[in-house]
Amino acid sequence: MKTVGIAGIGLVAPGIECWDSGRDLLASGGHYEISAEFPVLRPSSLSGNERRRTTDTIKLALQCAQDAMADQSVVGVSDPELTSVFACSSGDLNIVDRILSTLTMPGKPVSPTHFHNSVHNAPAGYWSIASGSQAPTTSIAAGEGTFSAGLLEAITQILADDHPVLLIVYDALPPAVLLKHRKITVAFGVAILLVPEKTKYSLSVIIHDGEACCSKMINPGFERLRQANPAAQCLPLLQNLALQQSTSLKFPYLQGQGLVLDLTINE
Amino acid sequence: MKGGIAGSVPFRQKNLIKQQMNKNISLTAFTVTTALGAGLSPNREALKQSRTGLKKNGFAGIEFDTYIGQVDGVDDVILPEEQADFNCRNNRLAELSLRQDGIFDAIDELKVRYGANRIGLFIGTSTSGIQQTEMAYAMRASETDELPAWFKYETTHDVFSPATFLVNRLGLCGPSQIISTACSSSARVFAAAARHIHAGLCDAAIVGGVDSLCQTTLYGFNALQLVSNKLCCPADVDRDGINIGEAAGFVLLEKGHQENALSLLGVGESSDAWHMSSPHPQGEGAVQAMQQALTRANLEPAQIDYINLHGTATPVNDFTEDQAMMTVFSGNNPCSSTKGFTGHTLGAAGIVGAVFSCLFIEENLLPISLNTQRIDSKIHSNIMLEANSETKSEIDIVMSNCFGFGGSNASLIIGRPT
Repeated sequence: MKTVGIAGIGLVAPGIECWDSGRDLLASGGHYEISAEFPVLRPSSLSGNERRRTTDTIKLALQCAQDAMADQSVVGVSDPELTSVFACSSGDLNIVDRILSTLTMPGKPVSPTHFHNSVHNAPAGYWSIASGSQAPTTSIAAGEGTFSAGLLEAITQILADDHPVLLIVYDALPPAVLLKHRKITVAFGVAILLVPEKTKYSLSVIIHDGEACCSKMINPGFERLRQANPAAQCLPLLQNLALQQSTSLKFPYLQGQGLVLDLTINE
Repeated sequence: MKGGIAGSVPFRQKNLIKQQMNKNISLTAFTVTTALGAGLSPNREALKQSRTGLKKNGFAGIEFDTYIGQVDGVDDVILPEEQADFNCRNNRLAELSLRQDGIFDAIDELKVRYGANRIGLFIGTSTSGIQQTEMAYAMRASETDELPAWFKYETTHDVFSPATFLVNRLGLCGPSQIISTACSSSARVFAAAARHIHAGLCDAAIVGGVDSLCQTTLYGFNALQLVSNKLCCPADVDRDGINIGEAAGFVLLEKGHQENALSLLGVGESSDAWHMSSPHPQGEGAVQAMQQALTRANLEPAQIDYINLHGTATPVNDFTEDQAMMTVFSGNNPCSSTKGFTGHTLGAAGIVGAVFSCLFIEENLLPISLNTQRIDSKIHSNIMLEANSETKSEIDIVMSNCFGFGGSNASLIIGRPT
């Protein structure tokens, strides 16, 4: 498939509040603990009032998105051509927990705010409201292959319409009662601004038939992080971006298929 | 270099001319299962005879009065043993729909023609199998807080469950994604499938939608005061909300012009950027979706023979959609909502609208706005109250609208190849 350019990265993970700090940590090869404190989520794109009404899942996605768009020289958040792809494997299970708990109570008094925040595209809705852009956003899921599916969706959009796409891949920590059934043990979010033009960083992907064994992290702390959240499958890509290394990487996609990604650092 | 890592790339050149990428995608088979019945035949007959599938609420656990569009026989469906772990109302409904209209055979033929790894799967749902988790919460052990041992989250409630079920059930291994953009979910699957075909990732695709009745959506919409306790009546002066329905449907898409097949002429997508649960007051996002679909299809508004409205029958939706319709179509083209037949089937509304559009073209049929007695004087579109009252010689090109929470909009144009 066509080669696209990377023009911005956003990152939120335990002990990492933005791409700047994540890049330094990934490049240094230093010690990393998955149990590091999770950053306080305070996306400035939401008003204080909105922040109170939204959930950690929504705040996680928006904080990544705005980190990738910070100081952008290529495209502005309100650019009518900038579309977005929100990819998340499990949606907002904390809101699901609150609604389903309410349904076991007399009168089943479901909160209207909880209900409209429960849709899978709630982060995309808040993002479009915050950016003021009426460009399309989509919200998808593909289990453990959610990062790969999001990347493919974003690249097919660039191929079709030759415009920039902001990809946001994230999963929040489920509530205790559901954690046993959906093993996402830390929250993690990443955003990648992809553009049709050549930038310093080019990537291209192909679908690989057969189980592609996926690229792993050498650092044990980061490898634990990669395995703890479907969105964190992107870590090998982020590490090579941080190290400025051209490379070929494999990512899990669907059963019987993987994704091969070639990253080129253009001098 | 915070965030931005592009270096010195000049501000990008605007390229507002959209490619007509959808022009050569054919709809080679389709089916739908709604409250009107399983498969095309009962749906076709009910639409012709202006007969509703809505019934007074009898769904388990619902303690308020409303009408619902429940599909009969969903609980009698038994999934094959190999897919037993996927058993939930949503996947049973998908299975029921798959068993209609020779869709299994059509998919087998597709696999022979293209190979199982060249067929994409793009499915829309809003709540997947959440009813399974509702039942698990109701049986939660008070001492330990644990959910019962029978509960299987990943194969039932997880957003990706319908896709994993279908991939297993149909023996597919091509690109696959679930789209969950509330009530526009299974309209947007057409755009994603077209893009994947265009990019060469697959040669054909199964697109579809499945959303099933559950307490979460019934109580959720009720909390937002959007549910009517009478039969929903789109565009009526006395309309006061939706009736929630369930549905499943599938369309097979193939690249190129296929003999005797309808074409996906255009898809438009947009965001309202306005409010999470109310549409833009002037329908700006809806206008953009409809205009983009027309641009991609290279069609003038006058060439659209009929528009299947989103028409949920809430006061706000029908009014703002009409404002958008008047901006795009000036009130001439015949249109109606079919929510009075099926109820609002949420994440499946897009596939219901798409398959109904195919039926309208094949049958040369324009459905009435069922249950609508007196059109709101503030609504000016050409809404059909009598069957085929506006029928031209042929219905060749139909638009179908879907607008969802989060301001997610999609318009499809399906028609005879031009």
